[in-house]
Amino acid sequence: MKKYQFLLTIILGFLTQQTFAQIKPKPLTEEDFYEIKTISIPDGIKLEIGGVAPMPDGRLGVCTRRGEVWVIENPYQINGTQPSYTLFASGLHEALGLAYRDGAFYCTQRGELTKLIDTDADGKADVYESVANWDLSGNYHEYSYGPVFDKAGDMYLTFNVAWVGYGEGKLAKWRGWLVKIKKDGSLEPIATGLRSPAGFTVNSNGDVLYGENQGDWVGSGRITHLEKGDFAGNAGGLHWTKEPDSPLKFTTVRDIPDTGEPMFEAAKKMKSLKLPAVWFPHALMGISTADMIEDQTNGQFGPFTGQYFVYDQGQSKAMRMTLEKVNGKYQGACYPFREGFQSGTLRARWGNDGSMFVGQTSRGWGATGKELFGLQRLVWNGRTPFEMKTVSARPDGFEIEFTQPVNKTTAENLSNYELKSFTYKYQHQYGSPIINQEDTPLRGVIVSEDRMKVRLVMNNMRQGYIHQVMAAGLLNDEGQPLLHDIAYYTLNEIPTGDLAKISFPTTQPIKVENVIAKKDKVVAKKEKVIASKEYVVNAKEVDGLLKKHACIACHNEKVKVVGPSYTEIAKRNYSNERILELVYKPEPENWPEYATEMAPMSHVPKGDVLKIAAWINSLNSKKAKVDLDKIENRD
Amino acid sequence: MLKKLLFLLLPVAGFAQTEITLNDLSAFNNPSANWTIEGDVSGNFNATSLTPKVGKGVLFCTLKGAKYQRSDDLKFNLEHGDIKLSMDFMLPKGSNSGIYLQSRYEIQLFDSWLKASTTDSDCGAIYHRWDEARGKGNEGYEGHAPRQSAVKAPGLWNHIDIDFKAPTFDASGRKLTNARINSVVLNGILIHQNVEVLGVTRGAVSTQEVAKAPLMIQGDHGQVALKNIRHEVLEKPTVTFSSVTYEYYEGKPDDILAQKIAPTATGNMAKPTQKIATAKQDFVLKFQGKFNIVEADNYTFSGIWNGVGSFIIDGDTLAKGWFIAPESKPKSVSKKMSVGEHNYSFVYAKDFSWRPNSLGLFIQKDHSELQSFTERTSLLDPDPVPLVEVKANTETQCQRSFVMYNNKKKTHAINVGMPSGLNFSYDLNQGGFLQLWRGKFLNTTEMWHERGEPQTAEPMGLTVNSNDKFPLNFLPNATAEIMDSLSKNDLKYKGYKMEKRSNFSGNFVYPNFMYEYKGLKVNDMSTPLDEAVGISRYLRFEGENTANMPLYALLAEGSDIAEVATNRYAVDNKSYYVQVFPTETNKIIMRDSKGKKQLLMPLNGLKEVSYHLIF
Repeated sequence: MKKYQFLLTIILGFLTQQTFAQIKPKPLTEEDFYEIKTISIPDGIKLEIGGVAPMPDGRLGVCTRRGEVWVIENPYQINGTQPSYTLFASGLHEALGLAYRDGAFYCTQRGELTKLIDTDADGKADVYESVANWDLSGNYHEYSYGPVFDKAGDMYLTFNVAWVGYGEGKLAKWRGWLVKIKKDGSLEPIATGLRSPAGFTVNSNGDVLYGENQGDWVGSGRITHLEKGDFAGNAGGLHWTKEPDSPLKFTTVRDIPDTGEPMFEAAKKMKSLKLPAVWFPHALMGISTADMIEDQTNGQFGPFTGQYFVYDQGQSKAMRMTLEKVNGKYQGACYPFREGFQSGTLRARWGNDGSMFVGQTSRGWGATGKELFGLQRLVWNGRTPFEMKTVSARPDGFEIEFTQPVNKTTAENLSNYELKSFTYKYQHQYGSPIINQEDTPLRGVIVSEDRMKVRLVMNNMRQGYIHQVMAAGLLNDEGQPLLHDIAYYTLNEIPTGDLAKISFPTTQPIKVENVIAKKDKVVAKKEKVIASKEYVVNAKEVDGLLKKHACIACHNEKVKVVGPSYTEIAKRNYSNERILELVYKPEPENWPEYATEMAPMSHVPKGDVLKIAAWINSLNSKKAKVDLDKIENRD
Repeated sequence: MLKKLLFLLLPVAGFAQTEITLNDLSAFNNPSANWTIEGDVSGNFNATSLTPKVGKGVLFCTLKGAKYQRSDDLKFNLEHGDIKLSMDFMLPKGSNSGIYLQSRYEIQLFDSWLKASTTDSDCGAIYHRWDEARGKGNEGYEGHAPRQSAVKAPGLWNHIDIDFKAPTFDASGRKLTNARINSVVLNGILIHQNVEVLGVTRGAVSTQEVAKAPLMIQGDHGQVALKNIRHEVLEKPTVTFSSVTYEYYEGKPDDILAQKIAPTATGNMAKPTQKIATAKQDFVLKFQGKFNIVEADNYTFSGIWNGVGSFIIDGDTLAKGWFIAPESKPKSVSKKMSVGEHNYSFVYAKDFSWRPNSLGLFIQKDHSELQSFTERTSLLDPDPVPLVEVKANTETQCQRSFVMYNNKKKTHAINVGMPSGLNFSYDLNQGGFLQLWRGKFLNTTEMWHERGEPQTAEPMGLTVNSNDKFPLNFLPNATAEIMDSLSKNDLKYKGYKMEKRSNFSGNFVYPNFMYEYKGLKVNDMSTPLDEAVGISRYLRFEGENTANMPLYALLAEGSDIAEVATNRYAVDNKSYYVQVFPTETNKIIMRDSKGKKQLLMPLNGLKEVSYHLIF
């Protein structure tokens, strides 16, 4: 079938070439640039990876949730050769982080940072040195992550809060904190407000960035730059500000403005509250922020040197993040990057050849990737994707820099951009809907001489808000659209500087967003009338809506992903209106067997939800029909 | 999961068991002179006899008479059918006895200590049956070896729990169902579960199976001591059920209950079952039936269902509401019932599909077996959780985990499994043994199944509890109290080294735990003793004594400590032995401390101390 299609494409290609002057090329996909290579795992090894540590000699160390450390020789599988696995250490307690330094591994167990040394050169650790240990209450959610070395050779670790229906830090000392373990093993508390900090890094400037998972006090996934004395938002760890060595003055949950207003507003009232550098809008980007690494490959991994790759465990994918400093503080944007990993992508580290090892696990933690565990390598094949390389803030808008020159006509067409802004509630409740969404009308665009940059000049730049920058119709010189046409910029600070000179050669600016919004409203009204009735479901339209609103991030028509399949939902025979209610205000207790709670999606227009709901319910009748057919066809 | 299942099927907690008083032999039918009442007995793991101590509370088979005289078998006055039985027993080296349920089905008591693999003659076995007609060498058949060896060393107390279901017969005496061992738990280890015994075992008083017969202990093969004999005799259930009528409605339960919808099906059947409902959701199923009470008594009604239900007895609503198995607790309520016919009805409604239809309704007379109103498949079984096991057959395995110890979670614990079949769990924060066990190594299901929220690992063998205390203590004098736990400042855990040691079991590595204790550098290593009789613990310490106090080693602690031989003590109700090695100048001190006994050894001038734990 595939071959047949391929042939057809070629034939059609010839035809079009002859008929039309321009041909529309086949759109390229992520795998045309970044290829996923699967590292084979011997039968019987449960490689539920918690940590990845490439070694300078080309071997790779990985630690697992079952407490093993494997050293893999030939993990690059050069010329299709087999990797070889050696059990270096075992018996650790849910090891979720591994580093290799000066001939030894450092591994974080639940309650201990352990140095693993092979003193007799038999390829097996014989010394399990306790570098530091800390208290635990015994709650399962008290995961410990790290270590990540800084330049001085000290190690950073992060500690989850316990889960007792909410995030609780007081059950054991320093839960909910970023701590530094010095070479002598002493522990220095650095910052708190951490909820589920599964991934963090020390960047080339020596700054600590950590990723947070949506939950209580966390409206959506996000990455925050942590400095000594910062409070990143979750109240669980504040209990330990009472300690004499706390870098924060004594703070309690009562000091937090728990009003449900945006975090940006709350931070005005609470000095220690640190704003995230980049929000990763829930489900639109990821659902469970995991590891991150800075591109220090000097081009071996493509055109993104100095940028960051951020993984999402639940969606089995990599995202990209750019940072800039505005008014002395990190802020920036996130972008889709690469989907399709085999299991829950928890850890990523650079291999020696500029490819990226991705350690994966999904046991008990739902993930899009179907395997229970896995180890893969992401390799750049040398071709440059047409991407928004960076989106950076300007006093009156944003500047998009591309990886390739952009087609000027498409870049100057204002209707090719979809811009808006929104944020989340800061509150003790779990998650948040999107709130305060507003249009950010585009006044005009300026394309640079070399067509590598487009400056968007906008109205309604909203400080503290997440700005969606979508550039759907832009093409490069080959007629290819952007590989990913969306970015979310977190505008904590609006830079000062020269305003764009507004004398655009382009057509009269139109308020794209407003027009679309109005259209939506009309549609919604119409549907109100017909929603409760059966009406013809346009599957193709719904498909677009599911993509647009990122529903497909967690749900698939037929198979369980992070959330239940639509077919499964259909079986519950909810009315369309009930589905609308549940989309806006999910009831996770209805789905006790799913690990990840659904976030409220109240920003999705009612009309769209009802269309989706009708489609979901149509799956039920479809199934019934199929069954009937079967019966009828029986001999 | 097993616990969950038992909990579900036995909604009413077990009634108090009756204890057989052992002040004299009046509980027994014409006991032979072999049997005496004693205050205590003690033995030694290499001694072939037990030594009694005058007093009351312990039943002792002295084996004074000649061997193999059936008149020495001890018959209880207690006659039983279904029974839950528990007791402590002690055997000397090489001894052989047995618990004969109904004087016919033997659970073997035998000194099979240290046996690596088991047969149907080993301790805890359901002993084989015997038929000479099968020909020489083939007479024994249908015995059941215990799942693993679980008996302690001779001279230590063992504990056994037996749950037995007697055979049943029709009015003409024809056997309807076989006798069944519901379960045998020896020293905390499940060694049999749901095994049918097709006929009497060897040595039964009769080959004729009966509904009721006395309990019997074999008394002519070897010495045995018994105490804490408790039982609960379960009567055969007597409730009978008439057929039921049902009405089945499809649609929204609210509409159905508002009588807007006519039934989809009605009918009559022997027992209620949810299988009548063909829809997975949006239905109501109503049952109405009668049952007959033969004996007036207290009865417990219980129910498990997925959905909403209402259980009505004689017009009285006993249990009602929303329920989800297995998360919800069974609904159960007790009621005094008079003799005669009674009515019951059950309304079962379900408006969701995400759990399967499931319904179980039960009645249980006090001290009787649970009876089901519902058809046998109406209540769905919970999905079994697969075992996740760590084995230590060929190499020493260390596995850190949380460990439950005296109902508390120890968060910095390590389990060590040694190829000799000896294992221990150890509190790294305290430098103390938590548990020692023999047999299979570790059950990690609660760590590695799904999210593993408990994060606890459990021993899989015969386990003894230790004291979770670091042995070394600086004390002002030999009467000063030892602290219950040490702070991180006083005792600093530094890690462990895997070091090679050679012993009877071969060349293996073992963890040598490293500590700093008030200026001392301490190494703490445990290895298997020869023939795997127990574990040897060896502590080496050096450095400056900054405490300016003499150093002592705490070698044992327990409710009681009895010296059974020179430098050998049985500890904590004789649950394990401690072998100590005092010197001329550093002699063992036995002392009382906070209601417990302790063995202390001064360590003046010493750089090391070792002791053995044998069980």
